[in-house]
Amino acid sequence: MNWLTNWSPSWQWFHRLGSPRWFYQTTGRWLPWLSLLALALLSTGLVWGLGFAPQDAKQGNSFRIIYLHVPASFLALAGYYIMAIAGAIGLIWKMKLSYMVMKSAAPIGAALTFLALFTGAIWGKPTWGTYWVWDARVTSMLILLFLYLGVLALQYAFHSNEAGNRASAILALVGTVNIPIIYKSVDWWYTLHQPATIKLTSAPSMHPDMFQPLLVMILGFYCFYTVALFLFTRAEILRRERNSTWVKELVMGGQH
Amino acid sequence: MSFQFENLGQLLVMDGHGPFVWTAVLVSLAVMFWLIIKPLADSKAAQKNVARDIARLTNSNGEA
Repeated sequence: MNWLTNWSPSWQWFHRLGSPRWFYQTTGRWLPWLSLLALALLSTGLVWGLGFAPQDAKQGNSFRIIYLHVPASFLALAGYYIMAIAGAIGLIWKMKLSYMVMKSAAPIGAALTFLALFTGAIWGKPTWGTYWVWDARVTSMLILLFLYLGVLALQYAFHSNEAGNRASAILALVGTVNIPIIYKSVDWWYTLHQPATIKLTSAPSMHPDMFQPLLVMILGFYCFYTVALFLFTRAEILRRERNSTWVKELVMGGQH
Repeated sequence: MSFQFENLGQLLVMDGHGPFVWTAVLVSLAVMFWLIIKPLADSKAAQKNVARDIARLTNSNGEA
């Protein structure tokens, strides 16, 4: 096994990343800065978008909901990848930290998907004349919400952590088939939902004065997501590692 | 770039779209607030449990 230890830099990194203790300590150092950055970006983006961005020629002021709707939808989808990839790493390498990340990503993803649906419904009323339509984009997002809730429910459906983790990871992986459907739903089916505002491959279909605050909000939501994922994972680490020496030392140290 | 409304009252009303926009903002902020508070409360509860276990162990050792 010498080759394994000799070929160490990348594996050391991998194993350290798999250590709950290392994760807890490192994220503890990052969290204050990340939280500050998230707060700054979100407050700037929100004030900019709600008060200073020009109103939409067709939709008027109701379009300002975009500054919450699009970032929440972005992260609802990106969060699913994170959950599914964490689940896959857990299944393949039996890494317990990875399962903890997967479990933590589920409530955050469910909350953000709910926000995407809720802000969408509220935006739909003045724009489409209805809160809800069973159209492809909206329905596939509802399925995403159920997938998140399913992963969450499976965690509590088994007596053993291991069985719950594996079942959740498999559901998360199977559910990834829904993601491209969500992305493509506005192109594949006739739908009320407008096509994507931002695409990686082409310029945004929005005026820069409207687009810039949206970009700030999206970055803010990414930072916020990271903060939330760190916090949920840290809570899970403390719960699952409660019998380990380092957690006991941490708690004792905190009491002095 | 300039402020798009004549005064704060107009910002709230938003030509009749205010209730929609502000409901979206308030609900989003509430959900995001929960996403921060919930794990912090869970962490605190977990630490309390560990502290209680340690105290129980020290007490039982002391009695024995």
